[in-house]
Amino acid sequence: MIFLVVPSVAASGFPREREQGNLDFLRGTWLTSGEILTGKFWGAVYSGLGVYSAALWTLPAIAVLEVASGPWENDRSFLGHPDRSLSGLMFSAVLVLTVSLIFAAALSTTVSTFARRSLSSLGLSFFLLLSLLVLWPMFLVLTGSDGSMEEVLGVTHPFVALGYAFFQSQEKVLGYLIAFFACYSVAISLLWGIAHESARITHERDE
Amino acid sequence: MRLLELELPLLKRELVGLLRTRKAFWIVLLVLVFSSVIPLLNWPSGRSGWQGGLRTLQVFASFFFAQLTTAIFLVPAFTAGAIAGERERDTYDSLYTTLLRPSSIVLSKAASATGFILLVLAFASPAAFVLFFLGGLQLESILKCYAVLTAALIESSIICLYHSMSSNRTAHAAMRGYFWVLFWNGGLTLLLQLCWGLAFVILGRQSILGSGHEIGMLLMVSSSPYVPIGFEIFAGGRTGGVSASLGVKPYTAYLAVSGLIALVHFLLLLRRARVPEIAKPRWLERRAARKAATAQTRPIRRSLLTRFLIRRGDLGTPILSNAVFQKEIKAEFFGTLRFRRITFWHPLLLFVSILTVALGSGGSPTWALAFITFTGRCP
Repeated sequence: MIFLVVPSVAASGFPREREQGNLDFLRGTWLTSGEILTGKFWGAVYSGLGVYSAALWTLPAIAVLEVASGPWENDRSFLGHPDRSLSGLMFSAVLVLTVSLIFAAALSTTVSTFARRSLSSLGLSFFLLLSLLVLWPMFLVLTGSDGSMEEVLGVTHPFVALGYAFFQSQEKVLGYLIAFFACYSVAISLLWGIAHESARITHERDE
Repeated sequence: MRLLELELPLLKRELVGLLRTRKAFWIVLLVLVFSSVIPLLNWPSGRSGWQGGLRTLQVFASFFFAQLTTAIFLVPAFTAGAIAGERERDTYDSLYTTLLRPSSIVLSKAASATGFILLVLAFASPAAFVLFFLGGLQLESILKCYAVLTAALIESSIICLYHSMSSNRTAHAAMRGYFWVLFWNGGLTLLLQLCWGLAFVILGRQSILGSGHEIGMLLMVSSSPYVPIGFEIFAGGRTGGVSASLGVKPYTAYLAVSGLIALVHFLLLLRRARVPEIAKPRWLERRAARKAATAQTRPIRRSLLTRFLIRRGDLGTPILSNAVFQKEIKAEFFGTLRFRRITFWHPLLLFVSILTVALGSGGSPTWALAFITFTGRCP
């Protein structure tokens, strides 16, 4: 749901300003292109906070019900510590949700700096997210015959990363989570850099 | 003949205009590359050998699911601007001053958008027929999968066009289009499954078995194009009890249901197109005027979090004091109380329903929840 709500709001960030004629006004102020971009990015993150907080409200309920239902099974423990299993699972879920929210916002904001029209920006954002969530795993399933495909998916796909937190053996979960976090941090930084450069170039070209 | 004469000018203008864009060129190129890569990567080689029919079925399923998903996401991008875009450019009224009938305008718009996507699918079809030479699937099944794909596309195009007609801005039309296309192509099935699970938990197993069970199964099968394609590829179109007792195959049921949904939307679309925009009933105009007057005087209602962030921003908290961020949450629709309520309460309701089904299915709540989330069925 985060991947549906955030792009539909954030992808039209810059094109909407352009269509309404506000972008020139924004550039006429003392704000730098970086500050405009930062504002748009946090606005995008804020637009997905509703779904994010709904998920965060559900997690404690699951935790309470889980504790009430009996002892946590040893074969599903987290990092080999049966007493930390539930908190580990909750931590994994929160981490994947947070990274997904920030990534969706960064991707949509970056795409919106390129596009001139809201519709193109919206279409391209959804297409890129679709590529990541559907086409990329399909490509890996069709090409990968050895076990490396699962590892790549666990690091690059948020749903698989979340699934591993539930089903994977305890030794692997932390490794996958660290790799997932590192991979997405690099992707977000890269997107941020591209967006910044694109906004700067557009600003200079329009001047 | 008269219909063709009336439709052709606008259809030609729309289709030629679309095909000449750079966007259309890149989409065709990308789809072609992706479609060609699938058989190339999966073609049997002397070194690796071929693993048999099941592998071919997996490749077929991936091919059709990828095509269907891509097409579903492409449709709103092409159809959302069809009528809302005319309104934005102030050319919508001028279309009505021509000799074209409203039905011709709507038909041309629908045909051009659907025609382009069908053209893209036709370009990619050689890849599917190349895979046919690997065996494992009958030609009839491939054609049935294409029939389901085409029906899903036509249905999605008409749904998006209807929302384009009901929206004043392209971005709004696109958002509504994406939501409803996803709902009718998979969301409804998930919702039905959830209702099924809730009925199972609340009413008990006996109450949902029998003829109700089969009708429910048929509804689930016919409400998403993914299900009949999956059945056609992996089970040769058989659904066991459903087909045997009701005598309906999944792809036939899907074609009937999607045709019905498309027809209803098309009739609604025609109704809207025929009624001139200036001639609304008097009570409707009065209500709109009243709403517009109150909207101007009424202050924007913001959520508690939005008000907190605005206050912190005014006090100069880093990040929150960013002028653009402050403008976004103060002026844009996602800062309003209504948007916050929709994006919080609806997902929460959904999550709680899933949790209820998970609890009702027994075992560890987290395990059951994870099982339902990742497999889509009750453990």
